[in-house]
Parts: sequence; structure tokens; C-alpha cells
Amino acid sequence: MKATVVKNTRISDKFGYLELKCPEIAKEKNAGRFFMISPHSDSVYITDTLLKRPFAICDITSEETFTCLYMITGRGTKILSEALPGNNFLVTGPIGNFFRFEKDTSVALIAGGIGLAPMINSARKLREMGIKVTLYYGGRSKSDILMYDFLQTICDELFITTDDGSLGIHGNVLVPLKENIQNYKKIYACGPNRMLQAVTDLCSQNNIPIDVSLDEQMGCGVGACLGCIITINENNEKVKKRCCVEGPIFDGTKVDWDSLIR
Amino acid sequence: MDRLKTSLCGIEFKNPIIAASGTFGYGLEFKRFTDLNKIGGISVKGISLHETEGNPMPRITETYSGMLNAIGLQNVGVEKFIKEKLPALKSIDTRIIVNFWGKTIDEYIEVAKILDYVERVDMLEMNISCPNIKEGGISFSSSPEALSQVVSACRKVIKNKPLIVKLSPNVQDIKPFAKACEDNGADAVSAINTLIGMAVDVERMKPVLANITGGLSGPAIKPIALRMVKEVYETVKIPVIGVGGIGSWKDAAEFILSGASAVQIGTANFINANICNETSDGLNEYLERKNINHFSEIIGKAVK
Repeated sequence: MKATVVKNTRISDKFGYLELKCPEIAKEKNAGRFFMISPHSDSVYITDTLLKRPFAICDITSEETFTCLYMITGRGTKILSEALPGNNFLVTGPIGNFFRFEKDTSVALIAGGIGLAPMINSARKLREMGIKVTLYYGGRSKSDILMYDFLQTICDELFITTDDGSLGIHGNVLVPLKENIQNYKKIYACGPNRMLQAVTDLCSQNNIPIDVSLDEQMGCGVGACLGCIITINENNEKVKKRCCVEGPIFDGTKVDWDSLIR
Repeated sequence: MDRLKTSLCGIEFKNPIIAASGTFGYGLEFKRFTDLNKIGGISVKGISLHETEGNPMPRITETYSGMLNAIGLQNVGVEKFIKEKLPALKSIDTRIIVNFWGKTIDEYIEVAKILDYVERVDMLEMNISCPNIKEGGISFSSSPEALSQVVSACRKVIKNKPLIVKLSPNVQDIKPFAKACEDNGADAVSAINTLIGMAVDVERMKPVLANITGGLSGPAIKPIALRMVKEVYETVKIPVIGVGGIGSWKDAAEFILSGASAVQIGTANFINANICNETSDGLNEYLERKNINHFSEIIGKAVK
């Protein structure tokens, strides 16, 4: 399956987003699912960066198009960041489970860094369901906070935090979340593992359920290679789950965080 | 596609393209993305006597034109495989090859005995060369003598199915190993398994993989695989199944021209879930263009 680049928007030297045309993925109705994309356009057979990379479906922009938020961290994302309109890429998707939002519940979305991506789609979904959209979004500094003006338009309540205090509240997302945690019936979070673990701890202390969306190195994205195993504590047993097809969303209180934080 | 129809060890295949073990799960994982009925055969994830947990994470990492894996042969075990995985493959019109392994000769024998009587299983592929398990596996491919022992032991109990032995490239000379397989009753050999490699995370200053080393696969190993297929082809009379870095019909043709009677596609399934079928289509067009009636006419043509 192929996706065609409609637009490549660079936000900064480190971040940007692609608008891709692929009706099979754009028709996805749930939030939190992802897709895999080869970093090379298919115009030449290049095998250097061999594997597809997993990306969250960020925002559905039309019946045929959706966006993919990227952060340049290595060779693959660097190549992808230079994609041009009209380029075709091999993709697989939509893949994985999704956030199960329930009507008339008070919820909060938590995003750390590039973990913002699935939360944009989630915010849209919540609004569609008539649920108040509250987003806590943290980054290291001002330059890590993306699409601030846009986020204000899709959220009812927005808490921005930065570790260095250059924008919003000084500190991490836990600082404002601690104050309000009792107001929520459920938390949905995506971001660095350490942040997810800390948010899970806070939720556990307050008996509030939490779903976390995890990012793991993936080979195939279809559940075949067994390269993206997440250890889950289930009935006092450690169970191995495939992040790609049995995740990427797991009950945060069941994740074996020690095996994830390396 | 009569040009590609073939018989391998007496088993009819609609084409000589087989999905390689460890890269195609138990088959059904790919159902959403490709027509499984068009694939010549599927070699399922290596099965052992008991359920196996596999190695700690991280288990995979990308390297230049390749990937390293140290999954550690995680699998559901032979009993669960037969009960839970195999029935779902019943309705699919493709050959099922079951890759199997053990930590001891006795374990090999036990699994082989069980699989030998399973109707849906068309062929057995003995894995004597997984680089990622500490016991067994690699030690059986440490010498032709050790390999002979395990192959002949399994041959004695496998009475109903053709036996393929998957060779390790992590040896000084692959030829005596291929010969040992043939001499001890193997019906075919597949070559090659992954090459042992390593990658280091410079920020953490540690190996990337928890297992430290892993098996290298992908286009990076194709030239080595081709050379070894040629060497094996020149050594034994039994069919050679070529595997290692195939990602296009052209790659597959190179293997056939080097002596392969069939090919397996592994890592490329991860990049393009439909690659097995695109490869058979491409091969067919190639043969048509070259006015060749059947692919068997060009087996080993480049090295004769």
C-alpha cells in the first residue's frame, strides 16, 4: 500500500508534519492507532534504512488525507523530513488498538514531546463525542511545544508545561495534573516512558484508571517478528504482548515499567 | 503461471517462493495485507517442544541495509501450535513448512515425531543454526559430525514428510555441512540463516541488543548468501533453497541462477507484506521476456 505526500510542513529544525494521501488510513474512525511508513520514497529501490517506522495517525484532514507528526532523531526521520509533495511511500496501516473513550466521562489527555501526535486525533474524537477536551502537554523547553495556536482551537482546556519554564508552567506535566487529578475518571497518555511511568504512579495513588500509548522499536508492524514485546503484569504473571498488534495502548498500571526503562 | 509451478522433494508448489521462518509468524498475521493463497509456501516461526519465552528486549535493531534480531525463538510450543495456530491455516491454499528446533537431540526428535503425523504440515525444516539461543542451535552447526548426529536422529523418526535442513553461514566452510545433511538423509537444504552481528548504542555505551549479538538479515547479506548457495549447489545433489536478503524478483532470479531450486523471502516481508507475490509475478514476467518455459531451466545457469 502506498501513501502520497500532499504537503511537508517544517515546524522547526527538529519537528515537522507530513500530510499524506491514503484513503485506507484516513478512513480510520478511532483515535490512537498508528501506521508504518518506509522512510524512502518508492521511486528508487533503496535499502539503506531498511525497516518501516511506526508513526501515530495524528490528524485526519479529509476523507483521503491525514497527517503524521515527525521528530528528527535519526537517519530514517531525517530522510522522511525531506519528503516532497508527490513522493510515494510504502505504508502499512491502520495498525493497533485504540483509545476507548466513554460518553459523559471526565477525562484528561496527557502528552509529552512527540507523544502529542495521537492526542490531536484524540482531542478531535472527544469533541465529536461531546466530551470536554483537556490536554496536559509537556516539553523540555518552548521549542518543543508544537502547534500551540492550533491546540487552543481543538482543546477546551490546555495546560502547557516546560522543564525550563520557557513556556507555560515551570516543571513537568505532573505539576498541574497533581492539582486536578481528582476531577478525572480516566487518563490517556502518550510520551516518554519515564513520564508515562510517573503519570501512572500518580493515577494509581488516586485510583484513577490510565491507558498509555507505548512506542517500541518495531520490525514488521503486523505481529509477526516479535521484536516489539512489552511485558505486562497479568494475574501475577508476566505476559509478553506485541506492542504493534496487541498495543500500542495498554493499561498503565499493568505495564512492567522496569523492563521498558533502560 | 506454469513457468513457476514446481515439485520440491515430491511436494507440488504453485511457485518456488516461500515466506521464510521467523518473518511470517504463523502465517495469518499477513492475511490482511497479502493473498496467502498465491504464495508458494510458508515456513512458520520455529517451533519447539515447549513454549519458549524468547530473549529480553531490545530484540531488534536496524543496521545499514539490514537488521539484527535476537528474538530467541519465542514460540507457543508444538502442542499449542497444532491446536491453536495450524487449524486457521487449513483453508489457505499454500504449502506449510514447519521450522522446528530443540535444545537437545532428544527435543529435536520429540518435536519431529509429533509434527511428522500432522496432516496439514507439508514439509519439515530443521533449524540447526539459530544464533540467538545459548543452548543447542548453534552447537549443532559447530561441526559436520555434530550436525550429522542430529540430522540422522531426526531422519529416523520423520517418516512421512520431506526434511529440509537450514544451514548456518557462521562456519568457515559450508560445504561439509551441506554434505553431512545429504549423507544423513535430508531431502533438501536451505541456505542461509542469519549471520552473527552486533550494534552498539554510543549514547548508552552499551550493545543495542539485550542479547549483545543478533542475527543479521536483509539485503546486506545477499552477496554472502548467493556465494554460499553456489557452494552448496556444487556440493550436493539434493535441492537447495536459497535465502538471504531477497527483496525483489531480481534478487530471487540471482539465487535461482546460482543454484537455488526455490527461494525464501524473509526480512523483506516486513517492508512490503505483499513481496512474496510481487516476486513471483516479477519472476514470471522475467521468464516470459527471456522466452524461458520453466524456471528450472535456469537453475544454476550462472555458475555452470
